[in-house]
Amino acid sequence: MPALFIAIAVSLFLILALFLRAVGDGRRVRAGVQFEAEDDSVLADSARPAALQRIFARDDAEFVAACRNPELLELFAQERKELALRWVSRRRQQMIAIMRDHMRAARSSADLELSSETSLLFTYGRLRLTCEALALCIALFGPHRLHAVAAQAKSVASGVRSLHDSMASRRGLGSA
Amino acid sequence: MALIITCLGLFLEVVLLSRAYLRGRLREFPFFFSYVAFVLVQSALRLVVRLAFPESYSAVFWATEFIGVFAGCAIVFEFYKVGLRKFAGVAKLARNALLLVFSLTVGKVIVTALPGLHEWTGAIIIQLERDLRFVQIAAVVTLLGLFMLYRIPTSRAIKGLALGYGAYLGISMLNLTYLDYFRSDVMIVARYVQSSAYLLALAVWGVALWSRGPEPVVSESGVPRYSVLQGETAEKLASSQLAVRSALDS
Repeated sequence: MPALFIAIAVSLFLILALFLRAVGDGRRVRAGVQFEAEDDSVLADSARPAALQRIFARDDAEFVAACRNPELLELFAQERKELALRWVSRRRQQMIAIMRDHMRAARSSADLELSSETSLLFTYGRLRLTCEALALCIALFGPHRLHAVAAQAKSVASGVRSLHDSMASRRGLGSA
Repeated sequence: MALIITCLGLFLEVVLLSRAYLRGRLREFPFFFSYVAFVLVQSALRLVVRLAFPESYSAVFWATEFIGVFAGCAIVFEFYKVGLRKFAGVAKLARNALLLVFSLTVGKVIVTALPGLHEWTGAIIIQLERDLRFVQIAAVVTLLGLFMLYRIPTSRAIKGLALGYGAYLGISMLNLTYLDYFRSDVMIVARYVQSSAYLLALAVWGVALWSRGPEPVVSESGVPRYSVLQGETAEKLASSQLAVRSALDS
């Protein structure tokens, strides 16, 4: 129990430090976001659906692989990975901006609803988590193998689900 | 040593209160200054009892300490009331969250206080004080979280209130934990630590409230209905979700 109380006190100090940093750096953070948005304007083309399909598509990767030039293949993989990571980063910035605008407008709304706000935060958290997972997968496997990784993850998940269902049905039979 | 800390505390409290009175700031933070006035009276009473009736000091100390812990809730309330005055939405969230925090922890306090019905010992008082400090920490953390999440612009005074009381609560929690663990062996040191933590809080409040800093500018023109706003945000998030999914499906 003493460890819990010590942890609570230490957490309070950390939150206080974060609070001071957050309210102190408000202007700097806003400036930073603006700068990043301007810098990302070069990616405007890649935000279009067709461009997006090209970044993550396997066709180009298969074509370059068929050329049997290791240097070219490496350069291609590197470029695509960088582009895909920047796309994810841009998406992340957009999500942050959406929530920032929402919070700024909602804070003065007298009819604000706790349940809706929690639901929005949950959706936002899930999206951010997906973005982080996406960035990690891109960094590890490259954008063109993302589909294969997603399919693999889906098949593992469905395997786990069917195993769980069969165990549940067996347990049901046993108790009957 | 204890006398020096007490006198220094009294001096800082008098300076803080008289400065606020001269600057007309007592009405700006009525709960906070009431708390400081209470602690001033409490410290003066303890000093008199300590010098004139040393045998009654322990009883007076624990009785006033206990009331002081309850009085400390005034600062949390001031932080909520003044900090969120212009933000009705977040104030509503804070009210709900604070109610939840208080309800949950009052249960814990009652459980801790139950043995006191038979025999009211020093250990029970220490545990009870720690539990009450825990309620205040939970309330302060909740408020700080909401301030950060909704990017509430804060004045220097509000920042000072939060920082001073937050640091005092954190040090008190550590102090009461090791006091409960080592009991009477560290009683003297624990009292010094507690008094010094309060001196630190007074110094922070003194700096923050010495003069009026620039008030944060809030430009909330034409706040839309929450249902409309929530719908728009949900739609934007859904389109982001679609974009991410299309990356996985491409």
